[in-house]
Amino acid sequence: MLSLAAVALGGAFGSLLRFMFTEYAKQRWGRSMPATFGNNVLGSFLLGSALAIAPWPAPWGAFIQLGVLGGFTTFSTFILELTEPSDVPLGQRFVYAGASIVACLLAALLGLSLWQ
Amino acid sequence: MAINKEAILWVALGGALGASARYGVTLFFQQSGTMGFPFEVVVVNILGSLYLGLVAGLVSQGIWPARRLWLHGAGFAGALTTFSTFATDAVELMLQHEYVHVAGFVLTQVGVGLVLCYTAMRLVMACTKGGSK
Repeated sequence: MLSLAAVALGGAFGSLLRFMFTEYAKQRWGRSMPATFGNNVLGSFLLGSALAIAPWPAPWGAFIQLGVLGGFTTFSTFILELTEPSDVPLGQRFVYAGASIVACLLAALLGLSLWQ
Repeated sequence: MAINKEAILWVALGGALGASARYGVTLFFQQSGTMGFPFEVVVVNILGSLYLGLVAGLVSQGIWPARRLWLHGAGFAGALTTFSTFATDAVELMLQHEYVHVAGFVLTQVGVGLVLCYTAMRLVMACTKGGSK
């Protein structure tokens, strides 16, 4: 029950942070992709780091890993940005998809190995 | 849309619900045994992509007002799905030299996620064409 509350609270917090970056990118560049990319790469690095320095004391692991970082990063927006009608050409969408996956995996690997 | 008090409340609520739902799916798969493959991430990411396609379709057709994106899009679907666990699970499979699993894990989520999100969005748009503006 404590874990669930920690996950919910962390999810609310992480989602809000992501939302603020996304809205900023929409105003600044007219699209959300730069924010989603940055959030996902940063979140992947931080989760790798959080797993590397685990174990965390009781509710903190759930709060940070499943809550904040799970809520901060998003897969559904990434997929929607690739599919929704917009002025982003198909080629750029492929580059965005590939770059997101490669960069996030590398960031996670860096986080996992940096602290060991 | 600008960030205001209403947006903050809805996104936080949706984020709490989405992260809790993901936690529930994770616990379910932990209890039922996963044979070392992170099925829970595949499930939440595919379902969340499908859900966001539905929401985007409803909003693009004007059936739902755009502010529902706060609770359902940025909040619930955003937090239900995760890229950080997607990345760390893929890397852990890679470090175990399970390369076929890595490819299956990544391609299933991206491929099925894209198809379901696109299909859901287009179905909503097709079914409501000529309906409410």
